[in-house]
Amino acid sequence: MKRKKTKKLRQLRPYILFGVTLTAILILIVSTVGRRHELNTPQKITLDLVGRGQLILKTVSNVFTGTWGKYVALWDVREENKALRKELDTLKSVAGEYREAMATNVRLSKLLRLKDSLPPPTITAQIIGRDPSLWFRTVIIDQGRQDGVEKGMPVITAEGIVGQILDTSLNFSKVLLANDPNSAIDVIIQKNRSQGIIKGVGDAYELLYILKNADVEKGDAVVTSGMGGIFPKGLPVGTVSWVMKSKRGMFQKIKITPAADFSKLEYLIVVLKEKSLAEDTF
Amino acid sequence: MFVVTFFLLGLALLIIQTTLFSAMPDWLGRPDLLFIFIIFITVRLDIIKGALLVLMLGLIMDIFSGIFLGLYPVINLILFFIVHLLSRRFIISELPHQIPLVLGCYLFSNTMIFISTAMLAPENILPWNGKAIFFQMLLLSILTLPFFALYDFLLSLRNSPEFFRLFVRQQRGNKFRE
Repeated sequence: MKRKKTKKLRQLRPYILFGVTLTAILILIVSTVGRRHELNTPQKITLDLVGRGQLILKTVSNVFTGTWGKYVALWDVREENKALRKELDTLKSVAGEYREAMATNVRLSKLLRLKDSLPPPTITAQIIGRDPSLWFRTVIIDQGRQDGVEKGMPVITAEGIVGQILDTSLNFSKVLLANDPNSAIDVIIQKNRSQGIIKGVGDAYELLYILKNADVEKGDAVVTSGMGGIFPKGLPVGTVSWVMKSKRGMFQKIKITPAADFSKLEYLIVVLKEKSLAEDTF
Repeated sequence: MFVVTFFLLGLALLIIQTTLFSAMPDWLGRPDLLFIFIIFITVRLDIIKGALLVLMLGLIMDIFSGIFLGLYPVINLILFFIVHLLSRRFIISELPHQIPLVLGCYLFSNTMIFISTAMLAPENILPWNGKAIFFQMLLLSILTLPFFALYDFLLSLRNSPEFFRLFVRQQRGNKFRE
């Protein structure tokens, strides 16, 4: 009888051990969930180590894709060259007009003694890894604390905003992309200055808190508002692609097509720190 | 020793998935080989080694995926516990059941992520991406059998010292003395 009991207890021992471990981990996780992605020291070291592996593999794959890309690029280079020359002629004339407008702007700004600020310092980073899950939109970049990157810094491309730094290790950082549902950015509609918040919905953004009486149309440009102190003011966010004014509620339902193409991201620009030189200028 | 090897193999799969597979075109798909590996560990290894490996891989996945720390270790452990319990009563780890097992576990795992994130951040409910999940399940159903066979082969190597002799130079005695 006693032997039977001991045997049963021995059989159950791994499950009891497993249950205790699971409970301990659950307690640990529940206590850490509130702070949402603040890596501790071992996790930062792991990010550094695995990041190095990602960087090596990315460099190797870049060699192959680069060679193939160069070969493919030669296919229609003549037509492209012709089109680019045509475009260059048009842009030259446009640039002349802009130069004139810029000169007028500077003259008027001086007259009005408007405070100006120089663009903030930036750093270029390469994407070395993407989130493997179907649920989240994050990427790993090859610049970290050592390069001056800090949590919360905005990440952009030449086309528009991309996201913000979620966490950093010594040499690598994790970026939360703007099209992730957990991302929220303050924006304004350029034409009427209506302020709202964009949230990621997969491949597009959803613009929230725009009142029904605001005049919003398909094709309107949306830029960052500069509120919240994370993104500099006036960065392109995207264009309005869909507007609906439902009978109920105070706000419109608006969808935005992102200015940046998230499927083709390779190199990103991290805006390090906004430094106002207003005092030096005036 | 083989636990470390398997851990490194899991890590390599994660690196491949986050770098090479992410560069692949959408129409080709990005197979979740690490998930097949986790299910393999769940059904083939004993409870202590398996749970340890699954937990460690979950902790590392947390760093590279998502924004909620602790999500993957918990889901992996719950999955491990359920599958391990089922495998003691039913023959679910054998060849004919491997594909339904992996697909069922994948659906369960994604549902868990959806429910957990909805509870952790109710203001930002993630959209249920049924099409992408279905496509991923299709890929998994094609790749499960070959990768289970590959992992089985790797697991069998731990019992064959001949394999390790290929890498370790044998110390031969003085044959003239004999």
